[in-house]
Amino acid sequence: MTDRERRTGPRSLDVDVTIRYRVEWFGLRLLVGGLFDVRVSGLEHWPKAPFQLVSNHHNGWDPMLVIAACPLEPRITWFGPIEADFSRGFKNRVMGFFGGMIPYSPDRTTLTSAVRAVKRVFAVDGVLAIFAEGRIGFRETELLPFEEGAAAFAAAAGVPVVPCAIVGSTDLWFRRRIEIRFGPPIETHAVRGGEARAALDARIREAVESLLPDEEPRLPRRRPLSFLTDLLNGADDVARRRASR
Amino acid sequence: MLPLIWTLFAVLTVGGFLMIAAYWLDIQDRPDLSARARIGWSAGILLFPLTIPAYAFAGGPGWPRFLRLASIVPAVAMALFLGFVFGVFG
Repeated sequence: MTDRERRTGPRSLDVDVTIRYRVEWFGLRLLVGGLFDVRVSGLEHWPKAPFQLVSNHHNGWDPMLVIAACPLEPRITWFGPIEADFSRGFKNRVMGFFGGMIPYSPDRTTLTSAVRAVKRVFAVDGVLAIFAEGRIGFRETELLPFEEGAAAFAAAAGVPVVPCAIVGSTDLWFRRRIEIRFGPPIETHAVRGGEARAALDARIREAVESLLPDEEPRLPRRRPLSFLTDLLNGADDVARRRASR
Repeated sequence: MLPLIWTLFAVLTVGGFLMIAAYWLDIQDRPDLSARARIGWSAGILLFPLTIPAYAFAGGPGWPRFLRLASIVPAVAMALFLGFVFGVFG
């Protein structure tokens, strides 16, 4: 890894299923499968790659939950770990080692440069995953407002969008049931212009919302290893969670 | 036989460290514990082969059976370590 990559995250967009990715996928299956009771549904909706996954976001565990729940191929590339420097911190170093992500730096990344980066993923028949809300939400039944990226990326590349809902990762504990639900794909090849993009954004939002549960979960009194909830969340997310409760 | 025991020891040592971390973090995250109990269980980590099973079975964390069984892993790893130190296996 070059010095620049250490600072800004990997630039090479590996969509190949490398040995390193196999190790990551298998390790995550073991870890996530051991800690949680993960169920997946709707995988039959996946079209042939390239396509874009758009998901809600509740927890730092979410990317790992999705990777562990999904098949080994096609490999998923993630858009948007918000980091300015990948050479610091254990979590950043691990992410940098395994790759498969397009980092987002609030100071340097523009919508144009981001679209250019994600088009490279689609050009080699990759799958891009994005947390459309841009940050962690704390309610299972609601979505935060979407950032502009989710619809813009898919529309720019004309790839279908597969809505995804992660249900149950707001509060985690040992062997908690977590469901990863995928919905039918949304076609985007005819989307042109700001109005059509806004309509696409609304359709994606509606599709993800339709996969969410109707009621907030009732938490049991005893939640073994409940520290798992905030284990991978950033300090600002932990503070926001505490403020929201 | 010795390679098998070494392998078992290595696996249990990793598992033991994970259980120590799980024990510590679980205590810090339990809202139902009083400050005194939290300090007591936290200090008990110095005697982890005894306190982790004691916590799992009698400390009221609500751990499922798998974790309760895993709570004896640090003690078994430590027993194997002492076995190596005192030449029991060789």
